[in-house]
Amino acid sequence: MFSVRFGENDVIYLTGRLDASSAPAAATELERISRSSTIDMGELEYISSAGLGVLFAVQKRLKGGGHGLKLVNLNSHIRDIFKFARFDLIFTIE
Amino acid sequence: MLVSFDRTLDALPRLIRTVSDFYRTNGATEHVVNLLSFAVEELFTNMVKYNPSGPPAVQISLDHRDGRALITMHDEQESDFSILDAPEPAFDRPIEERAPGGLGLYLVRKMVESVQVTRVEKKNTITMSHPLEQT
Repeated sequence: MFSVRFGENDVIYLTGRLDASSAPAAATELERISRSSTIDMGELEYISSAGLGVLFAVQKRLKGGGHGLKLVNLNSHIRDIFKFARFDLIFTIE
Repeated sequence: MLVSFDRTLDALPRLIRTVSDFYRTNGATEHVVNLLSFAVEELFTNMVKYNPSGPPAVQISLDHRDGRALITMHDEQESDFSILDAPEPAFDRPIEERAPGGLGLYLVRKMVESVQVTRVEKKNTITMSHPLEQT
């Protein structure tokens, strides 16, 4: 199961698995992000390239308006994928 | 173990669960379980999206030998496109000039130790091999 929760202080919490089946719903939810925000991935177990595409599209849209995403609390599996995808060059990752 | 999955993204949860359970119970580290699940999902999703007119089910063989995971995925397609020929994403372009997508096959090739593709007539076979105990 996958879910998105919008918290305080522009922090968005992702939970579960962001894969090809959950990516469309994730994209719809993350369209709500309109300014620089933090994506807390502490409860995100897994991401596939479909999920990467969703995050990429959000980042591209925000960058166009001078904003951007910071990603925090990536687990080791997701951090590996981000490294191989060179997403560490596109996002601020802590 | 040979398993068939309907050619639909709805089959993904069972596919990932099957791959994860098999390799978790056969000595794979959690890192490798995640990696193999990722690779199979990427390739299966590719088959669903880009070969929708293929046979109703995709067959996947899960095995292990000499400390290595061995996964074989079978499909039939008219096109002779090979995942090994998929272009590398445009990493050198700024984000404003890049389109989302194109990462899945690249990541499979980069992250899985061995990926081979064979084609006989219209039948494609993708064989992946990776150490079970990588951390």
